[in-house]
This record gives sequence, structure tokens and C-alpha cells, in this order.
Amino acid sequence: MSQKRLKLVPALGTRGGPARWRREREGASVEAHEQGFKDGAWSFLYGEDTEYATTARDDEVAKASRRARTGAPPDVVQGPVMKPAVWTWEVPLYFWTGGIAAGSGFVALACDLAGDSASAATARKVSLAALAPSPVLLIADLGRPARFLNMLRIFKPRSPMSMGVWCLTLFGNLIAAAVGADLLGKHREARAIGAVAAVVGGYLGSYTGVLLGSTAVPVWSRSRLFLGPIFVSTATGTGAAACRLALVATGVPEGHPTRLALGRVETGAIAAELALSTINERQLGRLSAALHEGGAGTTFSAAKWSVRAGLALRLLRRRGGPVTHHVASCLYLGGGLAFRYAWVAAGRHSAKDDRAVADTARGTGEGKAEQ
Amino acid sequence: MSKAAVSERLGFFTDTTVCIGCKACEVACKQWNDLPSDGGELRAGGSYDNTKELSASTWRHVRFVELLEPGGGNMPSLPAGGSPLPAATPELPSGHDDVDLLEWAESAGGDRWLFMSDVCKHCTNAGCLDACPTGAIFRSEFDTVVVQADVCNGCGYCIPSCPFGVIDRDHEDGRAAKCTLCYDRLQDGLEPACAKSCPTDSIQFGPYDQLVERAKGRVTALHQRGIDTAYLYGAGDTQGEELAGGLGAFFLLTERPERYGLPAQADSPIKEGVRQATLAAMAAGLVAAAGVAAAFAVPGRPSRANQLASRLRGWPR
Amino acid sequence: MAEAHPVGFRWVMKAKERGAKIIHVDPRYSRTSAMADKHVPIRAGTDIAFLGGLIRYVLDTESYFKEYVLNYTNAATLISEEFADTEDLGGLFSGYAPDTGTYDRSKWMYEGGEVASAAGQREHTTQAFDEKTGAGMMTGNVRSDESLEHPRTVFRLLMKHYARYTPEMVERVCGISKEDFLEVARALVANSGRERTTAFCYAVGWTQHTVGAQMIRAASVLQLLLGNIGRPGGGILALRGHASIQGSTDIPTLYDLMPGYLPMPKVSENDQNLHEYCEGSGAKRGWWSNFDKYIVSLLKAWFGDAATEENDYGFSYLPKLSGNHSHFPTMLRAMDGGLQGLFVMGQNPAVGSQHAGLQRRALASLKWLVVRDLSELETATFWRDAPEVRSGELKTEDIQTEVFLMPAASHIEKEGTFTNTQRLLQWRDKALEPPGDCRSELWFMHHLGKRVKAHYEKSIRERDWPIVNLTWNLEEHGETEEPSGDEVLREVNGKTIADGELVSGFTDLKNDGSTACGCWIYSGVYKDGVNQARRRKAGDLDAPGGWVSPEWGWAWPANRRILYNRASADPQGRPWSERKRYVWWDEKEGKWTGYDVPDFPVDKEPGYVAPDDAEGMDAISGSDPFIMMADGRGWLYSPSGMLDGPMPTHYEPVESPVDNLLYPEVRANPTTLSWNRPDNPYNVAGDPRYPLVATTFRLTEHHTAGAMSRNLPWLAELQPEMFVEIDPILAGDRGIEDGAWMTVMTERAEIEAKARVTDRMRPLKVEGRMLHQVALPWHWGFSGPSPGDSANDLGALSSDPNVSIQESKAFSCDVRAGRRKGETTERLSGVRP
Ligand SMILES: Nc1nc2c(c(=O)[nH]1)N[C@H]1C(S)=C(S)[C@@H](COP(=O)(O)OP(=O)(O)OC[C@H]3O[C@@H](n4cnc5c(=O)[nH]c(N)nc54)[C@H](O)[C@@H]3O)O[C@H]1N2
Ligand SMILES: Nc1nc2c(c(=O)[nH]1)N[C@H]1C(S)=C(S)[C@@H](COP(=O)(O)OP(=O)(O)OC[C@H]3O[C@@H](n4cnc5c(=O)[nH]c(N)nc54)[C@H](O)[C@@H]3O)O[C@H]1N2
Ligand code: SF4
Ligand code: SF4
Ligand code: SF4
Ligand code: SF4
Ligand code: SF4
Ligand SMILES: [Mo]
Repeated sequence: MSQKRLKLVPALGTRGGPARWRREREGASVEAHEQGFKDGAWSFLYGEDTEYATTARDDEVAKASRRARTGAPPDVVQGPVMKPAVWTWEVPLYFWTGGIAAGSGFVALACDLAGDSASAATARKVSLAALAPSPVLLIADLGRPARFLNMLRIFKPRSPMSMGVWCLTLFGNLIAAAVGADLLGKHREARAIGAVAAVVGGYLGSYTGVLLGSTAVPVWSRSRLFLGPIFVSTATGTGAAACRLALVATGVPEGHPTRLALGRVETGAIAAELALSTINERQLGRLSAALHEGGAGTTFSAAKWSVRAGLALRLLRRRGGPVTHHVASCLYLGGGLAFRYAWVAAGRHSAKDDRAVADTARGTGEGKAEQ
Repeated sequence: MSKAAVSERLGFFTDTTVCIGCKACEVACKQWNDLPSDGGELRAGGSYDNTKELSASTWRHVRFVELLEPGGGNMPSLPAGGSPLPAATPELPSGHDDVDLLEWAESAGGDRWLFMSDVCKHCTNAGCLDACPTGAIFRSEFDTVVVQADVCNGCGYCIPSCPFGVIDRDHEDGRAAKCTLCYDRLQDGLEPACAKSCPTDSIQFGPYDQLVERAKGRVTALHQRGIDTAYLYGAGDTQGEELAGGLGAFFLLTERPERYGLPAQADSPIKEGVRQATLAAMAAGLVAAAGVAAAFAVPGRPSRANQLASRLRGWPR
Repeated sequence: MAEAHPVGFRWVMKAKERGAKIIHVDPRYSRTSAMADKHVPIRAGTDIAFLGGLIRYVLDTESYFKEYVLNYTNAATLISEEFADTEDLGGLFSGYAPDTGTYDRSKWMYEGGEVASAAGQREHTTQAFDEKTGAGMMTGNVRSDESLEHPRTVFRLLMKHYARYTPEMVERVCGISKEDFLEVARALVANSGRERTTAFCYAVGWTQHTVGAQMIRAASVLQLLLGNIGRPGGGILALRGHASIQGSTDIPTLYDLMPGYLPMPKVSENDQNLHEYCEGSGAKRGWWSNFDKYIVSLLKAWFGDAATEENDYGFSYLPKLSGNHSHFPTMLRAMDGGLQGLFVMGQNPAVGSQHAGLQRRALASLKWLVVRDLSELETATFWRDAPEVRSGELKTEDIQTEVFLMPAASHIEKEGTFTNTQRLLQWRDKALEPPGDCRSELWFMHHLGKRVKAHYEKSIRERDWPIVNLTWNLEEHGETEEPSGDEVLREVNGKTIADGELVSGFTDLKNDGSTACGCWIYSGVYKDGVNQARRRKAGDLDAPGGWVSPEWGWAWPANRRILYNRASADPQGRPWSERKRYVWWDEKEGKWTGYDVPDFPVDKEPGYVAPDDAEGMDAISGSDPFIMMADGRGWLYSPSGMLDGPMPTHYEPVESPVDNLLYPEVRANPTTLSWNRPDNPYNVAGDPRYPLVATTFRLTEHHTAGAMSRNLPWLAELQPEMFVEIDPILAGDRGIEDGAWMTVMTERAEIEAKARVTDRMRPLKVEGRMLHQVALPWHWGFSGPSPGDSANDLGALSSDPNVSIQESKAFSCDVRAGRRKGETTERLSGVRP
């Protein structure tokens, strides 16, 4: 006989409690229990009749704690110390779509500034299209999707997620309004609203990095100053790539200055991304292992190779036909997506690496970030 | 309902030197809060700890730390994934003839098996609270950190924001949950369930300041008895050195924090870095927008004059 | 103690905070060891060698408490010339009959007298059921030599007996290093005497051996030598098992006792009428001279008006004991088809009793079985899912046992008392109504009794007299017709027949039929019409002696918290020391007084000397604290009372991979009860196939056979699977990995479990070689939501001769990596008679 795998049902009621506790009689208090925490105050142990405690020596106490909490860490970390994020595939996908939306916002603004308002309108549509699934993805990832609106209960500047959600809402409304204006032919308004959206997009494209960077996950938090810039680069690159492909699809001819400019934007953003990533990996030291090991590592290097291939196509085969360039754009988009997944996965890996978490906290990890 | 008259800060002082590892607190908490059992299997490398960690359905968790000779306390680090480990203490002498058992037995004087009842720290600078976008997490009148189960939408942001790995999202229910410091009991003037059940008063509950005073006295007493590794984790630090601004539920430990799976230093990550991170990100956002614009401005575009002209003509189509 | 008595352990923790040193002697490093100042790993089953070593050390270094030993123990008493020690007879005492495996204990008597222990021989019925009992009886005049010079004084005999228990011997036998041993010995001695006392706490690590009772005796000898009995902070504390297991020996569920430790009358000729029974069971000297009052009052409680002086108060209708009806013989009888049916109330023998495979086969041989429990447990499901059924050896269709599973109310769903280790009765109110059809034991027995009585109502047959005349008139309350526990407690307390007044204690009881009392030692629990056990007034810790808290619950006898507490004062009645003041003689008032109720006649002067021909309590001198003993002394040497020797002697467990190094001629206890039958094969001593020592233990997270904890998800998740603790070297040898499957084998069965490889288990150096111990928790069974193999499938039936306790703490076994190949007890297939 094989031993049945132990599967135990909840002993009583609710998961996620505590909701069920109710007095049997409303207003009744617990009998035979002394109010005012008196029961808790009684002890067999630390009364006068034992040597449990003595007169405190404050300095000594503080010193003892300092001794234990600074200096060399013990050989063994008996974790788990912290918990990885529970986010599933929706979140990195949302990072990607949100990034494209933000990047496209930039493109729209630039087009407008450059006087190519037709392209600007297209970019705004791309932005809206990319944005549309974002809330859906976000909501899908919630434990309680029906309560998405609770996000809008409060406005909490210190919480990047709260700010992000507000930003997403605002951006979404703006870009939708801009596209609406475009469609209604109110170009002036479209341009104005689009410009505001682009500014908001500056946060939309980067806050996700802030969000990750403001957690206790070592690889994220020690990339705190880089994650925003890296993410905004990805956003810009993927946004530009998406717009470029969209313009191509809508018949903007080869050699059109906007197409050319977008190509440059893509290349520049991706190059910046790679450069920032490299610097960040350096400064992370041992912590960057999270970006190189396991599934995250594979995705990360796939992302890198993908964008490197894109760059190569762009730079080495300048003369290549348009298809080469399209492939490069696609590689950027794919690479961008992979980057998003890699970063989220790396966070999971890093949070589970007890040694890394412990050393980072103690400040003895090589990768102590400059703050 | 009689609201408790006091609403000063309330907390826990968990003195691990008197904990006997009975897990009564763990069970009492589940019972009071109607939390389900997680079932499970015997955990390799887990000593008597088959619970492994705090979770949405385990708000108290008793850790077991085996520090025995001759392993020298080398209980292998438990990978968080719970992947099975090879037999404990692989570096044991293999040729049995050269093991002097009696000597070994004598070295046992230093043997220790530590128990520590872990719980939400009710941080002064609570990462979870800072992160929560819905306001589900709030600071109560007792200065404790509580999740409102009916507000939480399960965004999960609080989870990586807690440096102590406390709060977690329930995989079935979808909401985040953790110790409430028995908010419902406190409102009624009752001691939290876990503290109530603790047979040896390892978990001491009460007004925070009193607890800190007693705890400091305890550390001093232990030092005088020669246990000079005793220290407080989360209270009694000089300003600037506190853990997360001071822990509402603090501990007396005798080994370095990592042995119990605790970080040596911690603060609300948002408090620590959200400003710089945001500034960096926003700056990058601006740079990016500018960069894009700049890219449009390099040669290959319609001439500068053209642009200027079209602009003067007013936003042509 | 931290593991199995966590709430009681808080007081140990407190003692520690007040400077006490805690020493833990245990094969395993457990949670208790973690809290102790010192853990001393010992080979399971060798505690007598260790304690004997301590006794020798105390005698050798002359560190015993001289005044105490001389005045309060039988150290100076001379032993008859017929006695011969193990030193003379190669490991046996005089009087051994090899054919019956028993001793003729008359060979161990005091010189010039015959004496019986306080408990008489009532628990001896396992072997000596046809012998005369005689509690605390002493005839003739014993001789003594206060100078302790005479070679036949108890003291000299003790020295001789323990001479070979040297530290080196302890090291070889127990695997305890000489240094560790000496450290314990020194600590013990340093902490005993006038100013300080040491307490011994034990539970089943000491009892579940074929020398179990003698292990406790060894501790008693040591404590008497050190002067640690009858004094605050001293004593030998039996940490009891189930809630109120103490109560269930006081008002017993044991086959050979009646309430208050009155022996069950026997079929032998001596017990045919009340007079003979009292003559044989009571005593002329000491407290037991009151014996007749207790039995007559008990019979009045049982048979009411029908019990008259003319019919001997119905004594002759009591069933008479014909032999050993303890658990094992009963189950073997079932096994052999000699038992129709069985009530199992609050027990799980299919998992919890030694040799569980045999237990289950025995259950399957019954016609009917009534199980009353909180949940559907293995004892009620064996017919469908026991390993024997799964293996096909037994077929469900062939099992004729009709099982009636009755739901029981739990302790919070009924009122009553718990009696704890300290003999303290604590009343507990009912907190909840039992759900559904669950009913209390009281309800069940009451209504069952009513039906039985109704059935026999018209019977005029002589033999039905006790049923017809049994008083069975508890009032019924409420919808469920529940009798009241309070009413039962009143009956237990006792009352006068004439006006039904509650008596205030056993001193009010009479032998003329004018009082009725359900259990004499509990008499007084309803003193003054107040349920004394329900009191919850803690003492004032700031007042001297306030910690005694006499108004918290009620302790038998007479609310006395420490027995024999007269020993806390010196022979003149003055406290031995201010620090250890407890009970003393108040010269001015001319009476005994103190923090506790004196365990002594209050007005008996310390200087009183009993004349030789005195009877009753007059025979106890003013300086003899042990009033239940005929000579008023604590016994270092017990001439009577133990079936396996007057002085504890080290014997190996029945199954042991080690030879008896102390007495090479005798391996195991020569009086052990064992059952040599094909269905009970033993691992023959020294069998190389079983080189390891196995022991069993409890986990805080689970309760006994598991029906109460494995069914409760909150507890089951804490220790979700059966496991075995082994040391890393053994694990390395056998290729066993932590958390992986392993198998444990004995002659009876093979069980599988997850391995817990840990440094907390440590091989010992025994007899010069490395000896591994394997420790098994025994909480798992084959049924319910958290099943697992039972450690008890591995054991064999064997018992201590004195109290029939199973030897589940030490047997031999082997282990290997991997899972078992067949069902656990397949090895027994086909041996069923
Ligand atoms: N949580 C919990 N509490 C319980 C119970 C329970 O099942 N669970 N059961 C209750 C019952 S019924 C009882 S009887 C008590 C029993 O309480 P304990 O006697 O404390 O229980 P055990 O764990 O069976 O045995 C105690 C220790 O004896 C050790 N031991 C084994 N062999 C030997 C030996 O030869 N010598 C020495 N010195 N030690 C040895 C074991 O390693 C173990 O650590 O607990 C009661 N309390
Ligand atoms: N190997 C090994 N075997 C051992 C031991 C050991 O140490 N090692 N220890 C031995 C000891 S000390 C003991 S005490 C025995 C215990 O062995 P058992 O008594 O056979 O086992 P328990 O599981 O304690 O059974 C008690 C049952 O009573 C039920 N119960 C609880 N409350 C009530 C109630 O109010 N009414 C009724 N009707 N039922 C109730 C519970 O649900 C439980 O099923 O095991 C012995 N067996
Ligand atoms: S940050 Fe963690 S430990 Fe602090 S209050 Fe929040 S959940 Fe508790
Ligand atoms: S999961 Fe719930 S408690 Fe946690 S941050 Fe999100 S809304 Fe707040
Ligand atoms: S305070 Fe309450 S909720 Fe928190 S761990 Fe204790 S029992 Fe659980
Ligand atoms: S904290 Fe108290 S209740 Fe919890 S395991 Fe320790 S001693 Fe037991
Ligand atoms: S279960 Fe009851 S008897 Fe056992 S330790 Fe806990 S409180 Fe004491
Ligand atoms: Mo027991």
C-alpha cells in the first residue's frame, strides 16, 4: 500500500480570515476573562519571585544587538527569510504593454513636435491599443479581481503601486481622449491632450521599475536607481518599435523621416537599456546571479541576444532592405517582453536566495548598492 | 461591546530563551482566527518544523534551529523551495573507528536546539502598509498593523515589501493575510490568543513600553548569567539603528538573526528608497521623452526651416 | 517533560529562573533536553545501572543525609539470615524458583518479623493472585542496629548490593561517560541535604520496562538516602498520562483494585468473608488498621440498605479474582477464542498497545465489540482497513466481530473532576452540550446499568443479588437524561446513612454500616457541603508558604499536598532548615502545624515512642513519618511489595543486543512476564539480525494513539507523517537520507516511516562498541486522514511482573533504507492459532 498523501481540509472555516469571529450574543464580552488585558499581565515567570529580569543596562542592550546585527554573518542562514512576489505572467506582460503605451506616447509627442501629426495620431492609437489590455492584465493578476476598484479608494503617494494605478488610469483616460479627439477631428485638442499624456507616460513607463525597486527583494531593491531608467528605456524602445511597425503597416513609405527617426529611437533606447543593464549588473555584484541563473537567467540572456541581434541588424546591415529593419523591430519588441519576464522572474529567484537576502540586509553582500 | 480603555501601543515580546517549542501558539492562532490547516508532508531538513514559514493561513510559526555538535550547528541551510536535502551534516566522520563517542558525547555540552515563535513584527515602518495601494492595511489604535480582509484586493504588492517574509496571499482566497495582533480580541480587552496559550510565557503581551523595559532587564539578567549572546531583535536599539523603526513584536534571541531566518537589518523598503527611485525614474522618463524628440530632430528630417515654417503655419495636417 | 507535559513544564522553567539546575536523562535529545542545563544520553533500559551508580556514589562518598537516613528509613533494620543477595547468587536473590519464574519473598523478610508494603501485595496478583495480601502489615518484633555496623543491616546490604555499580560500569553499560556521570552525581549531592532538595520527575521512559517498577524503586532509594522525600522541592514525581489517569487508579479501572486501593478479593480461601478479607488485607499497625471502615462504607455505598451486618454487607457477592486479567492475558484469551465481547471505552488498542498486530487479530476474534470514542478510530475500523486485512490474511467477510461504535462526549462536554499527578482533584464544569448523540461515560454507564437492572429485576437467583441490590438511582436531568457528576462526587465523598449528611473526611467513616463512602481516600472532597475540587483560590505568594495554595482544588488524602510531610521536620519536630520549612511541631500548642495539612496525627508528640505491642496508629512513633508503612519508615530495602527483588537490580530488557555486564549469568529480569507463543515471537537476545536498540516516544503535537490529534488538521499538519529518528552515522551506514523512506524490522513486523536523521540522536559507546539507538514516535495508525505505520506493530508482549506494564521503551530492531515490501505485520501471517 502506498501512503496516502496527506491532504487535510480546513479544520473550520475561512481561508484568508479573520472574518468569522462573531460574538454569539452581540455586545456580550467574554466571561471569566479580565478586561483591560489583566490576564496577559499575570505571569508565573517574570514576577518578583524569580530572577527573570533585572535593572536594565540600556547601553549594554543596544550594544548586544549591534554585535549580533552587524559584522560577519553566520555560516548558515536558516531561511526562508522573505517571500517572493506572487505575480504571475500577467504582470510582466502588463509591464510590456504599459511600456509600449508609454513609449508610443513619447513618439506621438515627438511626431507632433516634428510636425508629423499623421504619425502622431497613429502613435496615439498604438498607445491606446497597447494600453487597452493593461488594466485587464492587472485585474487578472489580482487575487480578488472584483475588487480592482479598491485601488482607487485612496491616493497614496508613497505607494508606487497606488501611484501607478492612478497614473495608468489617468494616462488611459488621456490617451483615449486624445484618440477620441483625433477621430472627431479635433486635432488641436488631440495634440494638447497627447502632450499631457506623454508627460504622464514618463511615469507610466518608469514606475514599474520604481515599484519593483521599492520592495525588499535584493536584486530589485539593489537595482533601485537603475530599474526606472532601464524600464523607461525598454518602454521607449518597444513603443518606438511598435509605432514603427504600425506606421509601416499604415503605409508610411520607406525612407519617411518618421520611420527613420523611430529606427534611431529604437536603437538608441535599446542601446541605453543594454548599457544601463550592464552597469547595473556590475554594481549588483553577486546579487546579479539572480539575473543569470535559472529560468530568469535564460530569459534574460534570450532578451539580450534578441535585442543585440536587432542592434546588429540595424547597425551592421544598414543597407539591408526594409524587412531587415522590420525584423529588428520585432526583435526589440520580443526582447523587451523577455526583459520584463526576466526581471520579474529574477525577483522571485532572488527572494528565495536566503543567503542573498540575508547578506543584502546585513550589508555584507558584495553588491551593496550605493544609496 | 466594551472598547478597551487603553489605546497605547501594544505589542509582543517573544523571549526565545523560555520557548519550549510546543507550538501551542501556532494552533491557538489558527483556532481563534479560523485558519485552515495546510496539510503537508514531513519536511526534509526541517527539524520538527514542518510548517516552514508564515503564510496567509499560518500567522504564528515556530522555527526550530538545531545547533548540535559535531555538526557544529551546521544544520544545512534550507533552500526556500523546500527541495529535499541530502542527509544532514554530510561532513560527519565516516571512518567510525576514529570517532571517539565519549568525547563526542562530552562535546554535547554546547548542544542547543532553539525554538522561536515567529510572527508579524508590527513594524513602526511597515513595508506592507507603505506598499498597500488599497488602504486595506492600516495602523490601528493599538499601533498595530492590520489587514482589512474586506478591502484587500489581492494585488500582492505587500508581499515582497515585507522584509521579514510575513504577509502572504492566500492561494485559494486571493487576499493577503497575516497576524492582526488579534485586533478583535484587543478591542475587547483580551490578550491575543497565542500569548494566552503560551505555557511558558515565551510570548509576552502588553503595553509596548513596559515590554521593552522588561525585555531590556531580561537581556541584562542573561548577560549577568553568562549568556552574553542574548540580545533584543527589534527593540532597545539606539536611534538610527532600529529595525524598521522598531518592531511592535520584538524578540530576544541568542544567535545571530539569520539563524532564525531574520534579516540583520531591515526597514520599510519604500521608506528606504522610493524617493530616490522615483526621482531616477522620472528623470529617466524625461530624458527618454527628450531623447525621442531629439531623435526626430537629427538630419534626415524635413529641414529645420521646414519645421519652423510648418509650425508657424500652425500644426499642419 | 517539555514534550509531553508542556503546561506542567512551566514550573520547571520557573524553577530554572530561580536558579534550579535541570538535568535530563534520555536516550534522545528532545525539547526537554533543549531546556535542560545538561542532557545525559543513556542507553534505553539501563536506568537502574545509572541510578544504582548514583546510589553507590552517595554511599561511598558518605554524602547521604545521615540523620534522615537513620531516623526515617529502615537503614538500621536487620534482614533475616535467609536472605541472599545477587552478589552471592550470581544475579539472583534468594528464593527464586526457576520453574515458575517467581520468588518466594518470605526469604527477604526483616529479622524477627514479617512485613508487607503499604500497597500490600494487591498489584501482585499478576503472579501471586492466590496469596494473602496484607497492607502495611508487620508481625513480630524486628531488630535493628543503629550503628549500622551489622552486616545484615539494610544499610550494609545496600552497600554490598551496589558495590559493582561503579562509574566505569555505568559507562560500559549505559554509554554515559564517567565525567558526565560524576557531574550528575555531584550536582545531586550538592543539591540535597538540610538546605536543599532535589526532585525526580519521571514518566513512561522509566515505567515501560520489564524492570519498570524497580526503576522507580531505585529512585526512591536514592531520594530516601538524600533525604528528599516528604519535603518541599523533593519527591519522585510521576508525571501522569491521560488527564485523570491518576484518578483512574484511585477509583480504578484496574481489574485487581477497588476504589481507594482496596484489593479485589480473591478466590483463595482467605477472602471468603469480610472478616478474613479485612484480616488479610488490613493491618494491625499503622494507618491500614482502619481498613474495615473503608470497605464496609464502600459496600454500603454500593448496596445501600441491602448491605447489612448479617450478610457481611454483601461482601460475599463481590466477584473474586481468579487470575491475571490485565490487558495482555485478556487479549490473548480473545485471540484463543475465549472471549465473547469487549467494551473499549476511550482506548485504541489497535494502535496503542504493544504488539498491535496481535491486538487487532484478537479484536477480530470477538463476537462483539463496543467502542465508545470521540471519533471513528482504528479499533473500530480494523475489520475493513487493518494491515492484516489489506494483506489478505484476514478477510472482512470472515471477521465475525460486530462493532458498535458509540459517540462519546469529550471532557469539555461533561462535568467532573480530573485528578492530576499531585493527587489534586480539579472540578471542571461542562462548557458545551455534546453534539448529536454524543453522551458522557456517566450517561452511558447509568443507562446501561438501568437496562441491566431492569433485565434482572425479577431474578431471585442468588448470583444476581448484587445486580438486583446495586444502588442505581442517580437523578436524571434534562432532555438527554444526563445524571449529574456532582451527585456522584457526593457519593464518593461519603455520607452518614441515618441522615444523609456528607461526612467531612475518612476519619468520620465507620465499620458498623452507619456510613457509606464511594472511595475513602476521596472522602472530604465535599466537605462542608462544598465541592472542594471546584475551588480556585491561589495562595498569596508573598506570604510564607503561600505557594502551597491549599484552596486551589482539593488533594487526597485530606487535602494534603505533600505526602509523608512529617519528614520535612527533624525527629524533634523542628524544620530541617528555615528555607525548607514545611510542617513542624508547635511546642506551645502541642500539635503539628505548617503550610500544609500535616500527614501525621496532629497531636502525636515527636518524642512518643511506640510500645512493642501497640496496634493501630499507636504503633507509629512520633518520629516515624511514613505512617502507611507498618514500621513507619521509608524503605531502602523492601522486604515485601516487589515481586522481583528487595533492591533494584540491573537486568537487560527482554530484547537487547547487549549482554548483562553487571550480572553475566542473568540476562533479563528473571520474573518477567512473557508469552512464548508462535504469534508472539521474540528477537532472541543477542540475535545479530537485530543489532539496534529501539525506543518509543511522544510528540507534543500528537496524543497517544492519535485518534484525538491525527483527526485534527491543526495538529496533524504540525507532524504530518510517521517518522523515525536516527543518528547520522547509522544513516550513512544504511544509506538512509533525511526525509526519505526507511523501514524498521523486528520479528513481528516491518514498518515504514520517513527518516529524521539528526545529531539529536547520538550513538553510544556501550560494552566498548558503537551502539545505535532508533527512536520511534508511536502516534500513527492505519486509519483516518493522517495515516501511518504504527510503532507498536513492532513490539512483543512482555511485562513487568509487578504491574504488568508493557516493555515498549526498549527492544531490539534493525533498519534499512526504502519502503517496506509487504504489509506491516505480514511476518506474522499464518502463525495465528
Ligand atoms: N503531547 C502529548 N502529551 C502527552 C501524551 C501524548 O501522547 N502527547 N501522552 C500522555 C501520556 S498517556 C503519558 S503516559 C505521558 C508520558 O509522558 P513521557 O513519559 O514524557 O512520554 P514519552 O515520550 O513516551 O517518554 C519520555 C521519554 O523517555 C525516553 N526514554 C525512552 N526509553 C528510555 C529509557 O530507557 N530511559 C530513560 N531515561 N528515558 C527513556 C524517550 O526518549 C522519551 O523522550 O504523557 C502524557 N502527555
Ligand atoms: N510503543 C508505545 N506504546 C505505548 C506507549 C509508549 O510510550 N510507547 N504508551 C502507553 C501509554 S502510557 C498509554 S496511556 C497508552 C495509551 O493508549 P490508548 O489509551 O489505547 O490510546 P489513546 O489514543 O490515548 O486512546 C484514548 C481514546 O479516548 C478517546 N477519548 C478521549 N476523551 C474521551 C472521553 O471523554 N470519552 C471516551 N469514551 N473516549 C474519549 C480518544 O479519542 C482516544 O481515542 O499507550 C501505551 N502504548
Ligand atoms: S512589514 Fe511585514 S513584519 Fe512589518 S508589519 Fe508588515 S507584514 Fe508585519
Ligand atoms: S494584497 Fe491586499 S493588503 Fe496586500 S498590498 Fe494588495 S491590497 Fe494591500
Ligand atoms: S496575535 Fe492573534 S492573530 Fe497574531 S499570531 Fe497571535 S493569535 Fe495569531
Ligand atoms: S512561544 Fe510559547 S506557545 Fe509558542 S512554541 Fe514557544 S512555548 Fe510554545
Ligand atoms: S493537554 Fe492538558 S494536561 Fe496536557 S499539557 Fe496541555 S493542558 Fe496539560
Ligand atoms: Mo499513559
